[in-house]
Amino acid sequence: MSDDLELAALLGEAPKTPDPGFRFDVLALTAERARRRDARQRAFRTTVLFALVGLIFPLAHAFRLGLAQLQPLLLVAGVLCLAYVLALWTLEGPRAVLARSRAVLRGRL
Amino acid sequence: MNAGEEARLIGLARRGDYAAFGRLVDMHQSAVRAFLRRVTGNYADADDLAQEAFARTWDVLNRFDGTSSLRTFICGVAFQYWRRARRAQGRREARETAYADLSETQTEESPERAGQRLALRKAMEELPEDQRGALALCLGQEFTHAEAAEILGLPLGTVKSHVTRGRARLQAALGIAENSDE
Repeated sequence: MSDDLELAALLGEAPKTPDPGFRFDVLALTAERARRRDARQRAFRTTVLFALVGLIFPLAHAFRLGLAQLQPLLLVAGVLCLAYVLALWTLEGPRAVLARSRAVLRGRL
Repeated sequence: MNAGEEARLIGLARRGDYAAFGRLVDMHQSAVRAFLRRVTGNYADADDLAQEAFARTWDVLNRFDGTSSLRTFICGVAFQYWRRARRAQGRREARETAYADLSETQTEESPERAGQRLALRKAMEELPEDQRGALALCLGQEFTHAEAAEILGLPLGTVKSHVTRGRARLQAALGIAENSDE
């Protein structure tokens, strides 16, 4: 009884063989934590982006820039946003016209 | 499995390979779960903590520099989780559930052995955290004193002293005189 191994066994025994259920639980927990972390990062990026967009107008006001001076900048930003949304729609939207091309490109790269 | 194979699996896991990480979990789950079972005294809590520790290891695998073994690294993470959980839970609650846990986890053992197990758990509960960790790591001979020192962040001499004194207290709890060679 005074043997260390016996004391250890009384305190708690080691699993005899690796438990696949335990591995599954670990991987599920790991994936869940990764998903939550990604969601937090996405939320942070979105918040920063919209905060920056929202800052444009107060900053322009502070530098005494009117809508006339800002118009070219806003126009370019608007066109870029539209192009981005259109590209996303083409690649990943319901019809996904270019989805196959994207898959081919991914496979080759 | 040799060290080279483990290093290869760690490399794959760092690049996001879940299958490789699953194999690492299989390799080390026995030692980590045994450590936590001994230190918590509750198999269900131990396995929950072990899962948290492995999941955290996945997150911080890039910080593992290979100077110690991965098993030591994971147990270090597990020990920190246990300390945090213990502070949150409170000592009284653990004592109150000890009897219930005993009947849930060990149903086929003799009443005498169950009594010994309970006495040991009580004795473990009364030990300081570091001493408890040192005993849980070293008694089962799954970890050397040096590895335990690394996991617990203590000097080697302190770990040896913790093991010797802790063992004596556990033996006293079982009504056994301390060995003369210790």
